[in-house]
Amino acid sequence: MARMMKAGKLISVIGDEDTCTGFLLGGIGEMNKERKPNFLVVEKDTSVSEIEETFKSFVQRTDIAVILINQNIAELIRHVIDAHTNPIPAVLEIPSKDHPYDASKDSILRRAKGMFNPDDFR
Amino acid sequence: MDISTVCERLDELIVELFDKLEALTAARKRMDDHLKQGYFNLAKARYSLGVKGVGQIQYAAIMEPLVHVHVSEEDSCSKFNLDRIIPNKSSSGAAKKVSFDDQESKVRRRHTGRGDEENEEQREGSDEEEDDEVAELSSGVEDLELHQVVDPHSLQDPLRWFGILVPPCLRHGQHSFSQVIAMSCQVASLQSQIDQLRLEYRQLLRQKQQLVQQSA
Repeated sequence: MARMMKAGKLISVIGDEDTCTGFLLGGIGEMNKERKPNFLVVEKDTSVSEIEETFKSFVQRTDIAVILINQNIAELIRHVIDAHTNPIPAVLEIPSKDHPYDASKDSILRRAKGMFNPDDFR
Repeated sequence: MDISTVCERLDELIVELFDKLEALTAARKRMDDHLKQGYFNLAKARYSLGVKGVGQIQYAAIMEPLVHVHVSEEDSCSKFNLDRIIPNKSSSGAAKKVSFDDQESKVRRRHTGRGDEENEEQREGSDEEEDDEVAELSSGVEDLELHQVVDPHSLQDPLRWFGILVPPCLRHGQHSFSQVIAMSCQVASLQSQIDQLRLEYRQLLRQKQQLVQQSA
């Protein structure tokens, strides 16, 4: 059974305390052999570089399939998220308790919107 | 490829893209509703357990994931399938059951010890049964021990981090977040499909421009 479980990939989360607590309650949390978790609780004193580094490390990990990130935190590292174009891991921007989801800020939807360039229709 | 064929394919792609976008918006809406409910339930649980009662202080030092995502390739799109493991809350219950059966067999042995010659054959038969039962039990105990050695922590429900008797709102919050996790796989699959459609569209558009230039 343990081998079967290892075959699947993980969901990671970067978010505020409530978001991380909720998703860990849902059962996504993992602490690997190097004692590295698959989540980052972003607090007031968490620096942007730390968030950026964690996001990059999640992207590089082969055992992660989906990265969930609060949209207000994603805004801080937008350039890194926009640069990530690989389908795996998929990056999902989710609302936080204080910031509702804004589709106009979502990287995927902005890319889809960018398909319709007026120059292409001339 | 003919220019009219390319144009038709472009139109098909646009229709397909808008269908996917509509599905994505609907899935996003459902996911946001579940998230909202989850946050609300967590806030209620915090009200019951105290400000520091629901937070990262309660996280376990050792965590094993209860959900796994299986990624498969379908039509050059990634499909994300969720695999959930339901934590076994009765690991101690199984141990209790084993000890209960053991007691029962001892009592039965005491009864059969009193029998006379007529019951001797029956006793022999029951002894054989008991031996089988003991063998089964011992193998069961071995299995149990082996299971505990292989995977000691993965069976823990994250709710237990917050105590044995947790408020119902925390349980409801867990349920909401579990649904969000399931929805997130659906959203990830749709995003992957949209991205793939976008790439195909861009490629065809470039092809169309080349064909137009050639014909001009």
